[in-house]
Amino acid sequence: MQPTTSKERTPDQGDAPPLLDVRNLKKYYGASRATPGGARRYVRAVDGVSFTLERASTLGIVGESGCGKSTAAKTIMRLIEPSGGQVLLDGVDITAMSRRRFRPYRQQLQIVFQDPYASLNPRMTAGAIVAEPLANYGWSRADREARAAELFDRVGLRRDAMRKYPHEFSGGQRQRIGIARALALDPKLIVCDEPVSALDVSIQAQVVNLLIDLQQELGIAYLFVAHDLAVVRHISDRVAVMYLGRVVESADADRLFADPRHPYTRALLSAVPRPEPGRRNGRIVLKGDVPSPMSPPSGCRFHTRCPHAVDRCTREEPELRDVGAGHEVACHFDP
Amino acid sequence: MTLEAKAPVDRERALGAQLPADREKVLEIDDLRVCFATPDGIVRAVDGVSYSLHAGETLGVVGESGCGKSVTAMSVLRLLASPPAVVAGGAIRYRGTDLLGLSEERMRSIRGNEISMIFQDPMTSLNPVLTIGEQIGEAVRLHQGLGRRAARERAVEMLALVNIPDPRRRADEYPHQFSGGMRQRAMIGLALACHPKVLIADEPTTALDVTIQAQILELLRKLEAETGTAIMMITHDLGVVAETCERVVVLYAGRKVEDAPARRLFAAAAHPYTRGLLASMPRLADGAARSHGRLTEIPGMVPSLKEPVPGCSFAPRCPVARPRCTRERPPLVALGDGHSVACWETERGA
Amino acid sequence: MEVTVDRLAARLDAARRRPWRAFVRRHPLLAVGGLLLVVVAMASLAAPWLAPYDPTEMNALQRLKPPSAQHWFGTDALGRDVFSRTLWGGRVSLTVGIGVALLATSIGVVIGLLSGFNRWADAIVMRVMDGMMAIPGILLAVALMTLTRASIGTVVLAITVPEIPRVVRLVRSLVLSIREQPYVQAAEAIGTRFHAILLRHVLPNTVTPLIVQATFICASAVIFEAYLSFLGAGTPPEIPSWGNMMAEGRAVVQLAFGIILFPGLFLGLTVLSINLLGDGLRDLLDPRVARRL
Repeated sequence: MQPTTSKERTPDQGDAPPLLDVRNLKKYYGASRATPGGARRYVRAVDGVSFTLERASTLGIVGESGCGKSTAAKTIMRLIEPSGGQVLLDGVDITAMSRRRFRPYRQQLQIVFQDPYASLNPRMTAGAIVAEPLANYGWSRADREARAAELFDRVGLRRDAMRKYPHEFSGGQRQRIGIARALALDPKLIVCDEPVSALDVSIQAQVVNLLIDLQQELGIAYLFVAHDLAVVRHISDRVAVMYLGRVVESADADRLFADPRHPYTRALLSAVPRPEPGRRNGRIVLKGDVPSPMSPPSGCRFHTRCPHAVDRCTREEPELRDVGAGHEVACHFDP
Repeated sequence: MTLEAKAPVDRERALGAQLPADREKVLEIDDLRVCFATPDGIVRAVDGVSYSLHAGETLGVVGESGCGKSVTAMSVLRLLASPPAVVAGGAIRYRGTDLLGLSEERMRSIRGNEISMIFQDPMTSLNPVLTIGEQIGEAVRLHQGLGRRAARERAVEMLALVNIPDPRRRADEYPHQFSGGMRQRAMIGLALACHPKVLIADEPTTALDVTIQAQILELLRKLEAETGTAIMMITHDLGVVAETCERVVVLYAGRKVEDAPARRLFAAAAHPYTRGLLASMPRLADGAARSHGRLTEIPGMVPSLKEPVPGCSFAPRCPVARPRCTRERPPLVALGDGHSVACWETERGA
Repeated sequence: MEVTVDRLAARLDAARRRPWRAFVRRHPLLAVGGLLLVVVAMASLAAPWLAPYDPTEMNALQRLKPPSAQHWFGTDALGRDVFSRTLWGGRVSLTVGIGVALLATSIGVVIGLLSGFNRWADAIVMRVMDGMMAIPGILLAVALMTLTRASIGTVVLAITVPEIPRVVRLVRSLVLSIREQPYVQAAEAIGTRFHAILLRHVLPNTVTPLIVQATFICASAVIFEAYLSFLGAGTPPEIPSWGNMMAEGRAVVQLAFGIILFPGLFLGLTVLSINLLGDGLRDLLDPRVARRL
């Protein structure tokens, strides 16, 4: 593969397919049988998720633990093999391709992980870590070194840090190394799996700014998976809310936060503690706990905790409906 | 002995006229210094920190990693392993008595009984081979000499107090049968079983989902109103602080930089670090248009705690630092209304 | 006890100026074990020069003599110098110990990797390992020795076989946990091929626990060789080894217990030193063990 420099990427216009088109994605894990010889139980980690992502834009995916957002993100990249559904990258169906055929496409889909401590091999130098993707795709040694140095500059790390080992860096710096590694192959899409959750607040701001700058300079699209709604709001163009393996609401970021329609989204937004004293009133506190993904509730999965649930909700699972201007909600009501 | 049933009281109304600072000081940390001996050098984890907790108040202790908030809390109950930790100076007074000078036996009678602590990860703080009822019962039997049956009754009572449904059945279950939020409630129930005067909560909701966190914070507010226990809430999340705390102490690199009532801190923070922290947080402002621009950053990183810092520890990253700031450590200056700050620049009205 | 910051600082300075002293203080096991082992190893290596007599030289006039100036450890039933034989015996023990450690570790790593990465292989391998571990190692080794002619090489092989399951289990559990680490997933995401993941990411992170395990296997092998030789199923009698010296000494223990005592003492010291070394290495390499000043 020839070394390439960053290309200008402009937001999508008109007829070109979206950069990423996910249709009814599923990932089931086979859990053990509840009784010997009984029906096999499955964990439906991702149970029919669909969304699109345009070039150089950011889609935020939010939800709490067990909602399947991380699994969905990794399944799209085929780090986890999908159980069903389709993923189209620039119009090409990459879901069922053999690993060999998929390998060139990997360059366009990279990932930044949550844990800055476990996402770097403790036995490799920072420079080697960032250069590894280039080595995998046949870059010459000289080109690798030049590109790695360039990447270090780009993420705000000193060049002499290339010789150091991960344990010599702070959490924020390690995350920058992870970002540099993800940038190495000039991807079109980077999946950010909770990239700032493990960092201090003041360092979060630095890393978020870096990601925003990189998007503007290089035209990279982000699939930003997180549970911190404030960060997601800041960086995303569109946001999808997941609950127990399904998308329950999806809209432009401004619209979602200004006018949340799904009861879960509302509860989620109201639960976030704000740094504004005296704001305690009007909070929706959900009762009960998140059900286990192994036995999701019948009908609408949220009905066990929903303040508006009625009989219909226990029987029928609602589909995502468009309620105007690209705002989709999966709920039997439209309050 | 049952808990005195009190109608949930609006805390501010009942104690309203009395400022927190006018009430009895139940816990006083006075110029505490704690060091860790590591092969690479001496780490000054807590470098002269002083603050107090008053009866019935909720105090927030805020800071990022390495600021010393957890070490300070663990020092109160003397839970730090003594090598490598060394208390190098200062005092921690509980109702006037210096805890650092007490015998281990006397400390044991205070832990769980008069001062309790809850931790971040409820799974590892609860013994997986004992039922919840047994664990709560153990605390009361040890400290209050209750018999088995009475201890179990108290356990059920505490589980009910923390809103665990069907408490009688749940008391016989094991921690792994509880969800994360319920385990944290059980921990709170365990901590309050002996009606302590002080509850230290070390990042109690950090590991929980946000909707569960909301439940726990609501519970803590209710309990504080009903039982009058003073709570020291240690967290890095300023949102949590705004929701639950009356007063806030901000720590940076082992030193206290600001101490103020919560409303004042959020409305008019005086220390550049606090201001920087508040400015760098992305906001979920209701209805406002999203700002897609950059967040305000605090450049640089927390300094290494191995080198002694003669001046202000924040100076290298401070937007308003002057030469004096790197030479001399600023003292705490009272700004009135219970607000004090350690910064040379605020003296000059900056 | 209040230790002031100044005292701590002083200790740190002392440690910095005299690093060896501080090292010994912090890692006593490693220091003692290492030192002892070095002494034994040097003595054995230098046997051709240190030993005053040829270990196989028989002298009918000097049989069963007690320790004296000419024969520091006395002589055995055939007049051979026990001190020389003891030194030469050390070579056998160390050769077997190191040989088994290296061989068992290499084979175990390959099998363990296979087992950790492939479910089907894992099922088969673990059952085989379970079977092997169910048979007492000594019996297995003896059984293997009956199939071949005795020599140092076959002794090494025979002792290696029962030691393999330990390594396999260790490597397998390491592989299983390393596979889940984000940095391995990251390697997949950037297109690293399977063999490169093994060599670059998995193997280097198994080295530390393996080194510790290898030292314990070495100690175990040294004892095993002594057992086998004592039973007559190990090192051939022409080659002096601590085990067969003790076997011969049994018959004449009333007359000259030095023939059992000295090799036995050396055996004990050697195994002890290897074990101390292993313990010390484990503490040194484990980042979680609190390091005291």
